[in-house]
Amino acid sequence: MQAPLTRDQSEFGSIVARIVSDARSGAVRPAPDVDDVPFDADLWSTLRDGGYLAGVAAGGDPVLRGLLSEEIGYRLAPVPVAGSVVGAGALLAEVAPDDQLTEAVLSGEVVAAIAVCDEIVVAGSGGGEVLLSGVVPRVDPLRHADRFLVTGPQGLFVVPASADGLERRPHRFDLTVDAGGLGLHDVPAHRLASGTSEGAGRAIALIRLARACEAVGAARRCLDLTVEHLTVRHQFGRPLGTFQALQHRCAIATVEFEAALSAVRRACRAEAGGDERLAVHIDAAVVSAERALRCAASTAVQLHGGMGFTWEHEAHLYLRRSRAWTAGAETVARTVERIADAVLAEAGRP
Amino acid sequence: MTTGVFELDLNLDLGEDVEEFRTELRRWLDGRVPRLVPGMDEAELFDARRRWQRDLFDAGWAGIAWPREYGGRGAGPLQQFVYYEELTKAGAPEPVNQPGIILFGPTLMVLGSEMLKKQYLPRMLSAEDIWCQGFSEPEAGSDLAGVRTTAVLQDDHYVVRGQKVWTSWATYSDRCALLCRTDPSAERHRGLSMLILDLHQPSVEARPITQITGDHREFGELFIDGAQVPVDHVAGEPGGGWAFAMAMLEHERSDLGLHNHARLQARVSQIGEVIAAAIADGRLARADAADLKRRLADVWIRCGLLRDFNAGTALRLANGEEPGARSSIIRLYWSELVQAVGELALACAGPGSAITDEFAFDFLHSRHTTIASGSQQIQRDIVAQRVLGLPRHRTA
Repeated sequence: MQAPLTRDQSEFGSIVARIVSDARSGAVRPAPDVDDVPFDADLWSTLRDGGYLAGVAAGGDPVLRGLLSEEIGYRLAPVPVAGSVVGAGALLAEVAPDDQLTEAVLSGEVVAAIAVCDEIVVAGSGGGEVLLSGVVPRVDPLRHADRFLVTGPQGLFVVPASADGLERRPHRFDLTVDAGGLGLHDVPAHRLASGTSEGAGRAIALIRLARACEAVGAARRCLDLTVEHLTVRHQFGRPLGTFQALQHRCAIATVEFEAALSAVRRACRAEAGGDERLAVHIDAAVVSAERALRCAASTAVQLHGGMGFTWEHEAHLYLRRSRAWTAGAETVARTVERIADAVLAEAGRP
Repeated sequence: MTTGVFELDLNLDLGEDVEEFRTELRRWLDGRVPRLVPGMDEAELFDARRRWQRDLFDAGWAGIAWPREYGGRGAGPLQQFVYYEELTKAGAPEPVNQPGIILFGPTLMVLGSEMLKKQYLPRMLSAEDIWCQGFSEPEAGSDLAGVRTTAVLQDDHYVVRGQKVWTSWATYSDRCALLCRTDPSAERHRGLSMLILDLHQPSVEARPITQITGDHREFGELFIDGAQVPVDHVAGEPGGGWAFAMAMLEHERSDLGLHNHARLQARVSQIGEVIAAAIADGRLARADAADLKRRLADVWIRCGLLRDFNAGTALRLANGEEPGARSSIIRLYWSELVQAVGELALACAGPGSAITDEFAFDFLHSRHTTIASGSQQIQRDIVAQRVLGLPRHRTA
């Protein structure tokens, strides 16, 4: 029962839902024996050429960005909107608003990824061109990124994906996300800014929110698939959906989904309204969305019975997303702890 | 009352007139809220709450969304949402006569006759008449359509016989919205009518039932043996009792929640203070502290979301939408949250410290949330069948 969307927002939601569901993402599914992360290039170009990416990029409308992210999550469409257009775009817009690269990333012409590296070794002269060494635990997107934005205490550096000395270690559990570790060994890079970038934290927060929106969309898909299955599939001479035990599992997942939907929509509105407590809204959205998808994906696999245990049914993709998704590099447990600390700090104040 | 991080703003523009309403209400409340004296017995407490309701009524601050002709303020659901928040923030006593003002009254406005509305609504709002809701019976709990209390038409009145149980405020009430069987030959959902029963008759006896908390207030049972109800005191159509009851329950599942998030947030804030103090004292083992912190964050997030649910409901009502079966989603969310808060209150007492009476009451009392107004299992049936569209396995 989240607050209703405006007419324009609803219309935007229906349009992007159609675009994403018409895309061939459903067919670009990973095979068990192929070591590749799919990238839906057609969907990407449709979204880019239609101006949707630019519209929801950093500086665009956060509510519409949330709606597009929900639809991407619904289909687990392999397009790096969260990591590149939203996250890398926000960082570049903050640090180098006039750089050519910024415009290219915000519009979707170039795919970029933020690589947070706390211990980075910078070699080379004091000029703009340096050599970087370090390890980044998680970069998203990894294999389909054209540029890496390496950020650390010494500054922000741009590394082209073709640079020598890059070592990609893909994470293989979540098959619909192009994420993984990145090693840098004397990689030639261009310094964009010195010192810690203020914008990095904010950019990562926006990625986490976009991923939370995706998770909510994914939870909705799990529910839709499950309800349909329970309606069609008969056992004991009647539809499975007539069994109360199964109905109740769906009802439980629905309540979690509705709560998470409220949470992500609120966080998107908080960003749109310039709310000073945006960070806590995002944390609440992340925790709620994780919980909703975890519940919905488990329900989907269980209630699909044997079918849900197969590779060919898509339920496992949602299950993988639900467990691997940590909304960036931070675990939900850490997010919860931060919320608790904030609440306790407030409560302990005389 | 703690403010700041506990007040998750909704970021929704409720509109200038709603904010003006808030300001005006705050101004009125300032200095007028009665402080309930600890140690008051149950009857004194009820009287104090009744007087407070009367004060609100006299000043035009009762029945915010009720039409003016029935003594209300004629404002909308958004003002009502703000109203509950402000009353809670001001530390006002819980409003009295909720079964009437929130459930029966609004339903009567839609389905009742002009005569009944004029006769009963203003007196309900002013708490001159206290109302209870005569639904459950010893043999009709979740299976509400199985009520056996009968009302037989004789000349110009019904003669009522039967027993109602788990009736909130029965012993304090003057009137009862009584669901009973008026047509024993009809199919069970169709043979029911909603009668307005005057409880001040020798043939009606109200007895208290002691609740799980050890408290005698609130719960009661009604023994009715030949009570009379005038024929024009059927609320809605004769035979339309089921529809009337269902409309009331939808109000209960959505509207009642409207005032709950603020009270819950206040309680969570209080629990936060207890936990913060325990951690500062070094009284808690690491594992306990981590567990309490996780649960505190959890209920805190959920309180904020309940507020969203409630604001969302208010906005939708203001747009002319009815919550319908989706009110069961809110009911489920709210009921589980209340219990989680109750559990946390109990847990934060920690080893070696006493559980305060207040927290013990909260915990025990919170068990009702998944039973009353349609059990958790009934609510899940409703969500599965009427929201998700899964096939029926029984009437929901």
